[in-house]
Amino acid sequence: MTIGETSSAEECAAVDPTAHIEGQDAKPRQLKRFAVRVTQLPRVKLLPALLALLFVASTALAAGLLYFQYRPDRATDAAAAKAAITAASEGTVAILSYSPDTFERDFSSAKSRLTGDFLSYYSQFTQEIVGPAAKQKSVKSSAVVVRAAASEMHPDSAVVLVFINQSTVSADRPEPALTSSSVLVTVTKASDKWLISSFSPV
Amino acid sequence: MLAFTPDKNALLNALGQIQFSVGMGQLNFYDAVSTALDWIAPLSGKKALVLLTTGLDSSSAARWDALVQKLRARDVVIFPVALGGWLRRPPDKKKKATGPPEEIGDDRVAEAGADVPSRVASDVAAEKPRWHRRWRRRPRLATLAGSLAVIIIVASLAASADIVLQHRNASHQHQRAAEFAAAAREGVVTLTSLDFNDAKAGVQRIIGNSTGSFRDDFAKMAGDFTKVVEQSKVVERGTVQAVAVDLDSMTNDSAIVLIASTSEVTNAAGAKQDPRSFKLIVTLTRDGDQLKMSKVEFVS
Repeated sequence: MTIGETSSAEECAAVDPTAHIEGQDAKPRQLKRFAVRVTQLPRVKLLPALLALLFVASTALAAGLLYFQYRPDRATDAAAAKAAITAASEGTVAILSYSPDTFERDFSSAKSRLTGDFLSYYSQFTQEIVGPAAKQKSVKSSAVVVRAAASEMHPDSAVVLVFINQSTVSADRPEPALTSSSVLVTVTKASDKWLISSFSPV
Repeated sequence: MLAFTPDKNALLNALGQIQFSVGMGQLNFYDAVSTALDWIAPLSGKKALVLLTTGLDSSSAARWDALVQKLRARDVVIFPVALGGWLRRPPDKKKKATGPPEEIGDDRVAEAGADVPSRVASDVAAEKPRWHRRWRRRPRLATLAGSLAVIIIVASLAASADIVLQHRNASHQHQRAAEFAAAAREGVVTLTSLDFNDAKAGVQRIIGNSTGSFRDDFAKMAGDFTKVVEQSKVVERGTVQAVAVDLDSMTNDSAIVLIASTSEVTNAAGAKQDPRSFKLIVTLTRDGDQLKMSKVEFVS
């Protein structure tokens, strides 16, 4: 405590000794008045106010949870993963299965399952390399998915590990050549449909 | 006056001509009721008597008792409609209203007719019913809104609790999947990382990460396997490229995990060979507090 504070306190007491006491008295009286006012508040008004508050709080909580927890949870659960895995598997089979007679149709069917950069890459690659080769050497390729599972799962994208067996026959090699490989397929959700946006063998 | 009639207009006319006054005259309300009861006694069917009355009677108490006796014996419903309500509310009405009929003496009021008519009279007054109805409707609306609010609050809280619970389950599931993925990764690295200089340790690591039938099978051929590794004179270093847990197969204690892995092989002279790549389907099972490989399938 500083000297200044001491003196000012004393001054106060000296000038008006009752002021201090009155101040102390006034507080409980005010409190009492407040308490009386609170208890006399019409219950009819207190209850609706409480209800309204609870209503707003509880519905806001539910809405918030619905948006920030339930939706993302549902978008990454086992059912969502299944949809992504199915899209990745079917897309992979479509990409790797073609025959010389129907390759135009095969490629366009595959393209409908692709999106983004990979779609443009695949379009160019099939048109310039695979298509002519398939025609020239009458290459026939068919792929089957051995097993697939989700490696990563996000609400709008997923990475699926796909094990595939591919068999290829051509005019030069009529004996089917079997290759087994694994591919990391990235699928992206576009208007509720999973489309392949990346396809990288590992 | 009018005899019994089904003619409503005649009745209305007669009602319009009714006059009543309270003066020095005798008020024979009890006798009038008694007479009316006698009139309708011979009639058949359901009987009702509508009394337009001040309820005042100046006759003796004996007549009231006689009337009560009569009323009890007859099967007649009585509807009293009060007239001249002000007559019963003089300045000292409190005393009269609260006192028992005996104390009122000549101002005796028929029990049934005392309060009901005055209440009916006030309801008949033009503005009061509307006010009444509004007063009654407001709390009902409020209770309805309140109940609805309570229902919605409870439903919201229940939904919130459910979402939180589901979120916890989902988090557990993701966490478990991550645990299985990590265990599978570690197991496959031990499977594909073997050093001919220390083959035994490598084989022990594999056994340490195994359980169930895979462990039994592997333990049986561990000796031969060690020899093969020692004789191969190569160091194999495995790297897992991709892991995917099959969520459909996942339970608390086991899961099937897909793994794509490669391994780099270096021979004794330090020359590297082409990396080998593997596709594995590994079943992991909880063994104590550790997840271990119980089945390993190389996909070719």
